[in-house]
Amino acid sequence: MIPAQYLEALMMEQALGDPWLATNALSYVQALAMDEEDAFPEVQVTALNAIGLPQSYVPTAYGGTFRNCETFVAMGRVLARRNMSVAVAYSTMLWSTLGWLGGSEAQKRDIARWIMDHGSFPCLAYSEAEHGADLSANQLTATLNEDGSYTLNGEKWPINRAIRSDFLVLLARTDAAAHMRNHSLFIVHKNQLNSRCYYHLPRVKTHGLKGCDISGIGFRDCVIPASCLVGTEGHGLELALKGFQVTRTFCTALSLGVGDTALRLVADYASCRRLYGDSIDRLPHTQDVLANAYTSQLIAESVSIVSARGLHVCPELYSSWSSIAKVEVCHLVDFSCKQLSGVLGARFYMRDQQGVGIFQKFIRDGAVVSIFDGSSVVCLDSLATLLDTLTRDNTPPPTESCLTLLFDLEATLPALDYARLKLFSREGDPLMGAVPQLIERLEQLSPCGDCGEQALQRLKDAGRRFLDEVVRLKAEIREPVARGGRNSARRFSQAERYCAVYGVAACLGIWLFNREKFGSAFKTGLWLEAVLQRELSAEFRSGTLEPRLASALFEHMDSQRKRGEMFSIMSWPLAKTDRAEQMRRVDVHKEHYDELRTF
Amino acid sequence: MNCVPFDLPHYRNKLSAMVEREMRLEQGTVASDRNLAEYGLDSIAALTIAGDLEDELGIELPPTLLWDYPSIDDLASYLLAAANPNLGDVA
Repeated sequence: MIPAQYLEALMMEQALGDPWLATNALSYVQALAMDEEDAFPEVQVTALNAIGLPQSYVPTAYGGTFRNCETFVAMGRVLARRNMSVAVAYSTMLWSTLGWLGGSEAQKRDIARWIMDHGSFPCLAYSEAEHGADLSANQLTATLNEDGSYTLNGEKWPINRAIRSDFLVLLARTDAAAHMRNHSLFIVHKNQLNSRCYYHLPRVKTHGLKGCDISGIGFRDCVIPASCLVGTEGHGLELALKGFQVTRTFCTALSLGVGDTALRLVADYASCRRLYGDSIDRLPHTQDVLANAYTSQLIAESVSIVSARGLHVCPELYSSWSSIAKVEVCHLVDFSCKQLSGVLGARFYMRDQQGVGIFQKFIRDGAVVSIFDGSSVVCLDSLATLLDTLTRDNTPPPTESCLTLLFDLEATLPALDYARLKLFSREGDPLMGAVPQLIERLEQLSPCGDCGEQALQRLKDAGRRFLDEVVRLKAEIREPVARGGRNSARRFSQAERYCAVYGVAACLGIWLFNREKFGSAFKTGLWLEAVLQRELSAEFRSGTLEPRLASALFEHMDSQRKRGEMFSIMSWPLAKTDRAEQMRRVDVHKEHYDELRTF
Repeated sequence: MNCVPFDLPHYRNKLSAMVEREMRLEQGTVASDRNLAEYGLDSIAALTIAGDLEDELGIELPPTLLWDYPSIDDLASYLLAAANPNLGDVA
C-alpha cells in the first residue's frame, strides 16, 4: 500500500520510464555520457518542463500544484534516483520558496507566472567568494536611491545556475555597518537588468554534479526597481535563514534518491557476481553490508517523512528540525555508499563495466548534498546551540493528535503556513518529548501473527534501552558547560547523537502508527529491531546486527529489489524494465492512484 | 511578566557581563553604545545570549532580540521597558 499523497511521485516514476533503457532521457547511460562531457542536462530539463514539473513548485493558491511537502520530497526522490545532475539543476526552482515565504502578493503572482508560463528558473545568489557561510559579512551592496530603486555593486560566486537562471533570489548588503539587519532580500528578473551593468562569471569545473552550471554573477552600478525588495529592508538574513528551514528539509529527497540507486546497483551486482561457487550476496559479510544499507535507507526515509510532515505540523521548530533532517539523512546515506563501494571491489573504480560505472557518479553527486544550504558542520553548530532548549522538560508532551499528524501517513495534514516559521525555536522538541509516550505505546502492544511474542518482547526490551539512551543524552546535554566562544567538539558530538535519536524516534513513530498499512514485512518490526540494535549511530559496523536480523533485512531488501520497488517502508512500484518514457503532462486523477498502487 | 524591575545601569551591567562571557572578551571591553556585531556577535551567539536572558529574567523574548536591539544600550532599554510597561512602548 502507498498513501494517496504519493500519487504524483508514482505517476512521475512511470512517466520517466526505466532508467536502464538508454533511450529514456533520464537513463543512466545518458547521465554517464553527460557526466563524461561536463554537459548541462538540456534535454532532461526541457522534458521535465514538458511533463509540468514547474507547477509542482508553485502553491495551489497561485495556480500550481504544491500543497504537500511529503509529496514534494517523494517527487524529488524519483528524480534523484535517476540523475542527480538533473535533480540539482532543476532544484534551483525551489528558491521560489523565498517568494512564497516573504514576498508581496504581486511578487508571488509574478513568480508563479515566470515559473509556470515560461519555465523560468531562479538561482540563489547568496554566496560570495570571500565569505562562505558567513552571510552577514557579504559585500555585494544594494544602495537605496532617492526614487526607491536600488543600485547593485559586487559579485556572487559560486552560484548554482547563475548563468542559466532567469531570475535571482539575491541577498545584498543595504547597510554598511556590521550587524544582523544589514542585508535585504531581492527577487530580480534578469529582464529587469540593464545588460551593460551585469556579467556572468564562468562555470566552475567540479568533481560531483559535473553537468551543473556552477558559476557566478556580478553587477556594476546595476539599478533594480524598488519592487524587487522582498519584505522589509534589513530583514534579508532572517528570510534567508527561514528559507533554509524549508529547503534543508527537502534536501533529504536528493539523498534518498542516491541511497536507493547506490543500494540497488550494488545489490544487483552482488546477485550476479559469482565467487567461490555462489553469488556474493550469499556471503555473510556482503549480506550484512546490504542489510545495514537497507536499514539506513529506511531510517533516512522515516526521518525524511516525519520532517516533511512536520513542516505542516510544527513549523516553529524548523531552525532545529531542518538541520537534524538534513544532517542525519546525509550521514546515513553517505556512510552506506562508502560501505557499499567495498562490495563492488575493483569494479568500483571502473567507469563502464557491468552497469556499475554509474555508482561512482552517484557517490560523488550524493556527497555534495551535505554542503547544500548550510553544510553538515554549519547545521550541527546551529543545532548544538539549540540543544539546551530542545531538551527542556517544561514543554508539555505532544498531544495524540500531533503525534498522529506526524506519524500516521493516512492523516490529512494542515496546509503549510510559512508565517509560522521562526528564526529560532525556543520550545522543547516534541519528538524528543514523545519518546516515553512511544515506548509506552510499544509496551501496550499485543503479539500478532506477524510480530509474535518473542519478537515483540525483543522490540520492547530494545525500546526500553533506547529510552535509557535518550535519558542519558538529555542528562549529558544538561551538564554545565563552560559558556562562551564556539560550540565545543563534545557539543557537536551531542548534536550528532541528537540527530540519531530523532532518526530512531521517527522509525518508532512510523511503525507504531502504521503497523496495519504496509504489509507483513513492515509489520514484523524486524526492521525496527535492526534500527534499535544499531543504537545511536548513523554509521554501522560489521557484526553489529545479529545474523538473523541481517539475514531477514537482506531478504526484505532483496524481495523489494526483485519486485521492482523503491527501497521503502511502503510498496512503491518503480517503472518496469524497458518501460519507455512518456514525457507529456498528465493531470492527476483518483483512477491513476487506484491503478498505480496495485501496479 | 514575572521579572523584577531594575534600573537601566543594572541591565547594562548584566548584559555587558553576559555578552563578554559569551564572546570571550575581557571584562570592560564592550562599549555599551557600539553594535555587538562589531565585536564578532553572530546569529548563534545572538541566540545563546537571548536564551540566557530568558532563563535569567524568566521572561519570553523575541528570537530576533539581538538583531533588532544590537547594542547593550538598546537591549538594556528594551529590557527595562519590557519589565516596566508603564515607562512607554517597547518599539
